Amino acid sequence: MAFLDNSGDIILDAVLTDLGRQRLADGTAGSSTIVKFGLGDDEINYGTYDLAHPSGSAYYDLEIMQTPVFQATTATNANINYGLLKLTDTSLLYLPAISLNDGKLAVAVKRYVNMIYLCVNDETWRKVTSADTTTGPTDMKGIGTALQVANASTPFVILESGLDTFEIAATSANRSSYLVSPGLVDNTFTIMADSRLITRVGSLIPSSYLRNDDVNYVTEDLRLGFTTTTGTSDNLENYNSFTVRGINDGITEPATSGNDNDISAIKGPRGTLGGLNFDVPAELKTIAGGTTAREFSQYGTVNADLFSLGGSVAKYDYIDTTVYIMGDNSSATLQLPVRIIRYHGT
Amino acid sequence: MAIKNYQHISPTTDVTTTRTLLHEAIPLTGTIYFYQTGAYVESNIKNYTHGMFQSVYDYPYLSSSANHIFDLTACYAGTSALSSSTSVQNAKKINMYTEFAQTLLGYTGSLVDPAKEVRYFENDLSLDGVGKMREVFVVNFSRLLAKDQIKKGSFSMTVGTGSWHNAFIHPARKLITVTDASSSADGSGITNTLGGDMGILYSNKDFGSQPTRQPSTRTLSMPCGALFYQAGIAVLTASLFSGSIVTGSIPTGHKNAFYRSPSATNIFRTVTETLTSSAISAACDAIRHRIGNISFNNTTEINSKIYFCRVPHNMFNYSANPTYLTGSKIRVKNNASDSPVAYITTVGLYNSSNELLAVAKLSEPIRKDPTNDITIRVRLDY
Repeated sequence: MAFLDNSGDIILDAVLTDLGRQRLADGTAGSSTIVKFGLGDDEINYGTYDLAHPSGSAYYDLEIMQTPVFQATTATNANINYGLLKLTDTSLLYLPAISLNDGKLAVAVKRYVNMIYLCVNDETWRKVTSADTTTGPTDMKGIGTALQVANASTPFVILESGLDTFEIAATSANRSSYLVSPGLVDNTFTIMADSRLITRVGSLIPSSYLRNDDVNYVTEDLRLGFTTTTGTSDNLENYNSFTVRGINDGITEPATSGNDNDISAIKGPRGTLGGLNFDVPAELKTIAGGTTAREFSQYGTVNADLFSLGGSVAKYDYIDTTVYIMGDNSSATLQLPVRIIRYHGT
Repeated sequence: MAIKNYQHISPTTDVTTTRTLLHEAIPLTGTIYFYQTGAYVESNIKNYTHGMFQSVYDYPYLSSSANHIFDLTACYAGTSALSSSTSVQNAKKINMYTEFAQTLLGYTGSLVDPAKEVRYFENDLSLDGVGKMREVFVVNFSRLLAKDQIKKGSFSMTVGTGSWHNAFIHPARKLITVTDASSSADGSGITNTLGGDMGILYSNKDFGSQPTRQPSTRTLSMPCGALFYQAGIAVLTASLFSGSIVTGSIPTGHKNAFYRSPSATNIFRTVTETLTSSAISAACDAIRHRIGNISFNNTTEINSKIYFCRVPHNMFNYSANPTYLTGSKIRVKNNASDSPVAYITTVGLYNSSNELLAVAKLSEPIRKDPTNDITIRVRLDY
């Protein structure tokens, strides 16, 4: 994928994607009809926008305007991953971000070495978290360090959407002004996961809630349900999209005592909160001694001393994958590295 | 990842279609298929066991990088005087003629008419049965070269009508140029046949059966074949090369023979004898050694759909690009009252299911802020 020649007039390099060609070949009514467009700026690094340029505002975007642009590719991914937003309010100074709660709440799973561990069965979960004997890393001891597939009880992934800045106080009034009024509250999240490895995604049930009080005491009833049973094909190859619910994130700056940042990953006004767990194909769930699924050898590693425990303490099969999360109103994104892990034996 | 912000494209006001004809010059030099540094180029030539035609490549054909250029065959009609049970490959030569004729010209009369017969190639546009070419050489060009069709009025082929030894420099024979100069892209000088548009090929010098033809200084325009533009097929009458073999003490190479057998027996044949007594592949060798440069323009028909992607002034001024924020603060603004700005590098075209069907990339970023609206014209060629 070379760069486009930007030495002369602006040119436009247009190609049909492989999916576009497939839809043309299908001939299914409407599937090959273009009805809308979206805009992307994936090559741009806005970090080079220099608001303090000594030569003035005409030079703020000097670096950006010189950014070389790649040729179009036929792959549906690697073209527009984020996109420009249609927000019409020109007075916005802040936009929401999505953050992983990462163990700040008791119900939230905590990453281990920047990854979420997803155990394919109870045996693996007990081994990884050393519930019985030390068969996992010391840092993973305890129930909050790994997910167990298709398990609606804790722990699970908690993600929060809101303004991740200390410049605006996390009050209800600011939530209303900065998030609700401009339409930046993510009532749903789109979860994009590898369809070969993840078959279902669990979501918070509607009655779930989370709030704190003036002394930062947390009241919550966060429960997961696997009602999201099917995914739809996504523009990422081999990926499916799932929609999960976002509930109001009721964590605010406590009026009397305590620090709301101890329980929330968002620094400023919070919008919504989502909960996630995953299910994997049945063949991946076999216990030690059972058949090791082909996927582990094809996409991952088998029979490895993953935690460097030495000897024959515990060997694991694992596959690393990435789950992409996007807020449906804010278009904020989060990448979640997930390690699907199975206890192989000693 | 899937994006969430789309703008509708109106099928009535934002979409239009166009048709463009693209032409490429195709020069084929004789060195590819004829003569190269003192020897005939035979490694580029593929003959088949069925022996009905010969394929010409631009490179030794066994190489994976070789491109098919054209096929050659020699044939005659069943009613030709050359048709005889004693003629070599008589049935195959007739079959080849019939195949070309019925595909390109069709039959006379209705299908149930017992007197119907395949139309003959003719040296005029009238297809009235006058000027029949019953013995022909056929050059059918690969679609790789001809693409959708040969551009009318652009075809030119030099043909050596001299003796077999070197048909181009023989002092007593002629180097002629065959063109479709009377045909025009505006449709004049062509007729419509079953095989598409047909034009007439003309020789720029006279030809005939004179045994000692001299180079002509006159500019002539004698019909000598037909050209089917969409099919990419040139038909040359065998009479271009008619003549008698000169006997006597002149050098062997200058006997005016159309063909010399490569075997040690040194059999010399006129074009008539070649068509009756030689295999198709041998006749193809003979004609191939007489074809010099060929040039034409091909045509590719491009149907385009143009989408006018109209970006309103008040939309697409913010970005979901991860670098757009520091914390949650927008990098390109100091104050809330500052105008937002984003930069467009890519346009994605989607169907109603949000599937990305086409992508267009701008060669440089375009600044988008609330003070401007932009229309990006995306053309997709089919």
